[in-house]
Amino acid sequence: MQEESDENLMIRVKNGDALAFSILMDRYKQAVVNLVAYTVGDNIDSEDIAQHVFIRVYKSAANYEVRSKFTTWLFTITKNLALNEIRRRKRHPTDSLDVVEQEEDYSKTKQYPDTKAVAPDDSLMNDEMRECLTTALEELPERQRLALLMFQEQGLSYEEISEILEISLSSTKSLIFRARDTLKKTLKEYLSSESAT
Amino acid sequence: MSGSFEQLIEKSRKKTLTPEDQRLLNELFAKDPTLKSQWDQERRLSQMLASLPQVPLSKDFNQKVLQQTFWAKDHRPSRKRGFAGWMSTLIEKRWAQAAAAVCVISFVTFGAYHQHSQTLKIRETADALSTVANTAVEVATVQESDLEAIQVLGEYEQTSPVDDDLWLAMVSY
Repeated sequence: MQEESDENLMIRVKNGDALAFSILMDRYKQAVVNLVAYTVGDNIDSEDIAQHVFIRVYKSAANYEVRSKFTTWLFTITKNLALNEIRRRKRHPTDSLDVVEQEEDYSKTKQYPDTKAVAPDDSLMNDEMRECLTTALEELPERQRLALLMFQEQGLSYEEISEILEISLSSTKSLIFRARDTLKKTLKEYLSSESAT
Repeated sequence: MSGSFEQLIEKSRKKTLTPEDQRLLNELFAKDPTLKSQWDQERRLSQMLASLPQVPLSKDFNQKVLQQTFWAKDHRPSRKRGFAGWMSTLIEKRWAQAAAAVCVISFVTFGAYHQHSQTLKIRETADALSTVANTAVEVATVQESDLEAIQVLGEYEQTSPVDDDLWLAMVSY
């Protein structure tokens, strides 16, 4: 049976259909939580932020226009809340006390199996490499990080990302290129050693 | 050559290369062996990014969201409400129905009282006017008779000194 489109589900949500809203959440909650966690840099508050994303989706359902793609709208809300959280943390440095705990929890999450369709090589699955990758990601400028994660993790098109970040198509490509370039330099050791095998 | 290599890298990020793409790639590697290491680096980085673990989610994620949106309460998404929307919501509320009933009863009671007061006022005004009119007629009659009496007295001639005293007393009165 063909899966109902996101846009149709949103029309149902506008009419007060709780089931349609739950289907949308099931479809995208993991993607939203991942994007928030890797953008903000921890997964302590990421679930709360992801919940707020869906609450905002629900509350703004009446304003949703079918002309726009649902994922563009959803990830725009996600981006806004994630960037707000980053700014909030910058304004309140006391939050940095949590970072140590967050790091600990973050490493715990690395024990979870990756259920993605594209299975990486076993050699890539070691914790040290992931730690380096997440650290390298955190060091990227936030917009580069967001653009790269949306492109690589969520599989969004350049057009969608440019719409979400409200920048031109060429700027989007440039952000992703620079992010990848920086990562290649930072992770050179892992990439070259792997490529040598 | 570099352009087509970049295009192939770009393409490989989104989908699997076709046999034709693969053939073109091998040709590029044969011409420039350094491209092979670049290609591998790109592939490895994509694989590393794809290996980022899923962030754990609580099982009651949906439930929490639904609770916070008060869905369980009214099963309605919030939306900009017009006058009709607010009215329909109020009509559903029992307290609003009771308040509306009290308002209607108060309005009717006040209207009846106001009407009654107005009627009373009009009646009192009419009575007052009638009294004034009757009094005016009586006064006019008395004045007319007094005037006639004075005129009659004026027509009398003096006949005796005794009458003079009487006349003076009457005129001074």
